[in-house]
Amino acid sequence: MSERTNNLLELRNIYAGYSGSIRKMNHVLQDLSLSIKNNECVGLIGESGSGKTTLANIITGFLQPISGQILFQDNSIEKLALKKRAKQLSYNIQMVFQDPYSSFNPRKTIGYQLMEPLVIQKRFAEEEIEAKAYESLEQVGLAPDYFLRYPHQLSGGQLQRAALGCSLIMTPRLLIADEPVSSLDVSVQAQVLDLIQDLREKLEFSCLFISHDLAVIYHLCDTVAVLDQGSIVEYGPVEKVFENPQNDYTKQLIFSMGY
Amino acid sequence: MKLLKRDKNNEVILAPTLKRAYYRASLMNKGAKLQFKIGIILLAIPLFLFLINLVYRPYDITTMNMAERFQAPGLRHWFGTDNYGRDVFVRVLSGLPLTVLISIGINLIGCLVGLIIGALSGYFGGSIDYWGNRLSDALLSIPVILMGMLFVATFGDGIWQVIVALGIMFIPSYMRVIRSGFLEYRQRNFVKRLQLLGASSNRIIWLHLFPLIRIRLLSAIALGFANAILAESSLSFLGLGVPPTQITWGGMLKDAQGFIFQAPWSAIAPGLMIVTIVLGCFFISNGLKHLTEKGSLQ
Amino acid sequence: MNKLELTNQANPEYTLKVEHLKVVSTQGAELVRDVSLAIKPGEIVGLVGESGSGKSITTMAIVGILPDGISIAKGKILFQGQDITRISADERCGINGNKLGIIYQDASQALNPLMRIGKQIDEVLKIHTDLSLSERQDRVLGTMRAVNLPDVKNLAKRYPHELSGGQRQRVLIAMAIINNPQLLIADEPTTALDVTVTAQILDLIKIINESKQISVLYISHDFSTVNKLCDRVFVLYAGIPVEIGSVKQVIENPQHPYTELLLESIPTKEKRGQKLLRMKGRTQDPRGPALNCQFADRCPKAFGRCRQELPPMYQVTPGHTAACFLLNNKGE
Repeated sequence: MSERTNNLLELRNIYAGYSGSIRKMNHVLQDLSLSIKNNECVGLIGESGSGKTTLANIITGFLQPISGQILFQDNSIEKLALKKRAKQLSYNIQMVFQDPYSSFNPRKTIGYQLMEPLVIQKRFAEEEIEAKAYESLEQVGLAPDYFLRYPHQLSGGQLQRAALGCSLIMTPRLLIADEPVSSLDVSVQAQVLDLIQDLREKLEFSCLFISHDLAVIYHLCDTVAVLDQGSIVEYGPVEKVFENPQNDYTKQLIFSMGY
Repeated sequence: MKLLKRDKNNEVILAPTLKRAYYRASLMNKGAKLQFKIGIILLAIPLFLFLINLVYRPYDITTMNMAERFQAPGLRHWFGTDNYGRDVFVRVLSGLPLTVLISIGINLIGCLVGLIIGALSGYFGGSIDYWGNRLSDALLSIPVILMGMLFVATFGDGIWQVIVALGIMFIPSYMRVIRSGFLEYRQRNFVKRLQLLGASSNRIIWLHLFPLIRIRLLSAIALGFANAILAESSLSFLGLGVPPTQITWGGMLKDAQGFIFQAPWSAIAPGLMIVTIVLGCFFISNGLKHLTEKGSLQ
Repeated sequence: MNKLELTNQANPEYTLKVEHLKVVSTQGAELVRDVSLAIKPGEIVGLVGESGSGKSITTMAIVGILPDGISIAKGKILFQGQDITRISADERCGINGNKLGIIYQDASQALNPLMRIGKQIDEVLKIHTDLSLSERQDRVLGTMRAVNLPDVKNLAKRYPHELSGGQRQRVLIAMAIINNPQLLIADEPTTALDVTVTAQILDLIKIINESKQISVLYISHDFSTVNKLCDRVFVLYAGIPVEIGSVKQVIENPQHPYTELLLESIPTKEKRGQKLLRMKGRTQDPRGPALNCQFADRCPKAFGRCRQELPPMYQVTPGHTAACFLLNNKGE
């Protein structure tokens, strides 16, 4: 235990990209290193095309990096395929997506989709699963009668909360939130942000919060990483970065937000 | 309250089926509903005549009666008689079960194989998709008639030869429908979410994605049924496949062309049967298609 | 400015005046219940609301592109003194793109992907003017320069996909202002854009407004952009304006509980780590006739009267009004 670092996740010198049709490879991430400590909320900010979503895909395993190392609790995981990785990490990395409507199968009830992770895991008895699903529904602030509703009967904010429930029912150590509030209204956004904060206090998980909105990052995160053209140009505690940005791009971002 | 019902695979099923069916029906708009109804009525006509024919069968299908050649439709012979004095009504309807069975067989082969190839290539993409598509391109490049002739020349006349030959030809159309459905839905975030949960591909494909394209598939099956009847009839018309001892509508049309001016009814009766069923299937397929468009909620 | 003065002035004083607009769907749902607004020449007015507030439907009604099954049930829309609620398609063509410029939310969808940028901008001129080719070309390039597009001659020959998101939005703005309209309607023009680009686009709209004295109706759900751009703001809730006033008045001194709580729910530097939302979550709105205050169910300050009557607009300070019974009590 003693030689273990406090890092939950560590990315070392990641290169990643998609194979383009004409050129050989489009590098989206270049020499990217990032670490997320236990119970830390890291905000990742950058403009569209800076590689935010690619980074999320690298961590979750939807995309294999070209080179570099990914350590989860000091175990190297970059070579594992998606399904193996999920199993090996005992489902400790979960994700919430930007569009809550496409996060649910339109033909299955919310309850079914809440219970499904536990059914797949085969760790609990039937009654336990059901109880846990109701518990998680309550945790994210939805009434029990949403259990039997279909996704189209819920609003965007309610769906996003249900999606949080779906991801957190597995009690993951790391939650990747890919712009979870950017498609929501102001008051609904506030509600979801409040909920994420509550759940973080209650369940104690680390969070990689991806956003293009500085205000949201400042509100929620402990640490901020600024991504520009595939590499991290600024990294540090939120207050420090916001008060004294070093990088020109960060300065520009913070200035245009009026902070 | 007991919420957890389980199906054969020990998977949890939740949604009350009846409620869901009602919800889907309510999604069908008026035009689609009308088309669906017209289709059902058109299909009911031959079925109704067939049921009548089961109890009321005054003439044998093969016994010739030279005294009553080329009788026009009337009370004695509802659809008239042919060149051997055989009753056309009885003959046409005795051809119905065979035609329907052949059609079902063709679609069963096409649908099952198409479903598997389409689902795999749509869901996994990559090289599976590439080779699936090449297979379907290859099949599409062979004319149906040629394939029928090939099979008959190799394996001889017979109903099974026709079913297998046409069944293979029907694979690409099913594959396309299913592949496009899978392609559309596998991009959705819920699939990503399930993959992160370690759900097996089997589970995602058959428990999540397949139900989403089920109605689309039903619509394709209705269309495929009509096409199969047309394809089988044209093969029989050319004298390929089904042996002449079996009565098929295509075969009857072929026989009737020799005396079409003396007894047009012997061509019109099987022709009308084909048209009614094909039209009925088209209408049903169209109605279902509308349902899919409305039903594929975001 | 006093509210009484506003209504007494003659209509052509306003570029756009909407009077008691009510928009309903065929199912009878009231999407816009009672919206009145007035835009003076050279003014930038913000229309703020969350989804379902009716801000997009109001805009569609003004531009005349309401979807099938949704129609104007009551009210007038006066554009330069002329009622444009029931005009023919030809008359509508004479207004849209000519006297009325529109900037859409998603620039990549508002442009034809197979037509060169220059030609697309030129098309607006072709429809509405009789200028010769060279005259039109000059004006296209001039307008493109005016919206700060770089290297215009080269850019005019490019296709939309070759431009960045910000540049595409600038092209849309160029198309909207090329005929020197009296009113520019901007429907959430910055939601699809990055933070830094958003700031540039807002600056550009402001410059256009000041240099050409074009009125702007700016629709948004985002108070921070409204704060930067607008002179006056209308806050919509459930199809009814709940608070009207200058940006300064509304943002610094919100009077309606909804505005107050909405402003509170925006994360800022001071509120770091605190709870953001103090109002109850939104409940389903049946969209029937509005008989009481629509916000009463979520309002922490609601009392008996709020659930019985529809509050009228109370004046707070000159030019600043809000629809809340609490203001009535203060007056008494």
